[in-house]
Amino acid sequence: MIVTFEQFAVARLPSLLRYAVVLTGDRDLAQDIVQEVLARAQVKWRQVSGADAPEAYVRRMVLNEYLSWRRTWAVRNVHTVGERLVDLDDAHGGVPDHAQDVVDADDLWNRLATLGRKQRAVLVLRYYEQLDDDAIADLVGCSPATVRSHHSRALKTLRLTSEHQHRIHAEEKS
Amino acid sequence: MTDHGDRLREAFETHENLAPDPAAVYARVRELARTHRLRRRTAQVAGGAALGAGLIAGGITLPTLLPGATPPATVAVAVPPAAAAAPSSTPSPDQLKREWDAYFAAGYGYDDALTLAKIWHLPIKNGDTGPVKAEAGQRLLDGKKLPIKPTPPGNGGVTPKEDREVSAFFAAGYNYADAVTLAKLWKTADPYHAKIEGGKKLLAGETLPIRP
Repeated sequence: MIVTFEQFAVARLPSLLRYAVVLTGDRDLAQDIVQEVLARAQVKWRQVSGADAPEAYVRRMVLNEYLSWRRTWAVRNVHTVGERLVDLDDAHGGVPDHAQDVVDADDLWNRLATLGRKQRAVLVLRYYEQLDDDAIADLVGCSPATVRSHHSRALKTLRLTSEHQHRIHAEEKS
Repeated sequence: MTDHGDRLREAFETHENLAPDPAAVYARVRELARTHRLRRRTAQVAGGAALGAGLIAGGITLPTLLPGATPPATVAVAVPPAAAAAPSSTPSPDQLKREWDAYFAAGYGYDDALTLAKIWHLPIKNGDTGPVKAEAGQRLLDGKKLPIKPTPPGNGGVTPKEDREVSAFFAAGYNYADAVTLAKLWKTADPYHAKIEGGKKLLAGETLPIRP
């Protein structure tokens, strides 16, 4: 298929924005990052489009931008009520009245905000992008062992490991 | 998928659609791209100077993004999930020289760059017309015509030689304030002549008595 930057952006921008939101957990930051990345991609579009997989190339740019983002990061990370995506979701009536799993998802989403950027990126790449350790290591710029370490620590921080183990333990007892 | 894997995936997928409006983001991307392009030009100017302001070899061709430009070239795209080669934003400084050569060879000069900057709504920072000349040169290399004809020499305009020297001065990172300093140091008639003198020295591979 033959595409220009404009065609690429129109087709892939929604997906890139969703990816950035999941990666950052912050709608404004996601927008800033995607804007910055796509602007650079447009300027060097011949180079980007010359890659084997232009979309993967751009997604990688998004990841790199997130991992190296300095500007306003600290400020953005100090959320107040109404700024978090989950609060916005609440405001739109997207949360609790229903299933417990939705509440759990929001709770987990909030806890994800406490992770370091690399830890969060590893989880996103593994469970959202469904990549294996080797691919994640290549993207993040570390060894597969370090990826596993980030993953393990992230789960521990999120208290998912212990919950998971407790649940198995309880099921075994019952 | 593990239990925690399912829960994480659900957490991600239930929040991904809170992404911003793509149309608004795209509009902003277009604005930013123009800024990036100008920045890149400036970087190329500096890079060209670092290489001696006169070295040349092939280079990449950038898509034209300015008003009135044709859309960028079409390319083949495949979108597998695997990661591509590491992105790099290193510009090609050699391209700048080729663009300038094309610009000057066509008979255009400093005054023309000022006119083109107005037509294309490009800012001229610190009197540096290098990015405008580069853009014009790129268009000429692409076989396009510029919206104005070259100003004939001898009508009070700057000669191509002087223009090249002034461009080399700015390309090395110097600005008007530096030209004022150099004018005092060299006792030239005005800062403009200091730029010419400075550019001449830089093109000859010499260094100037002050840093940019």
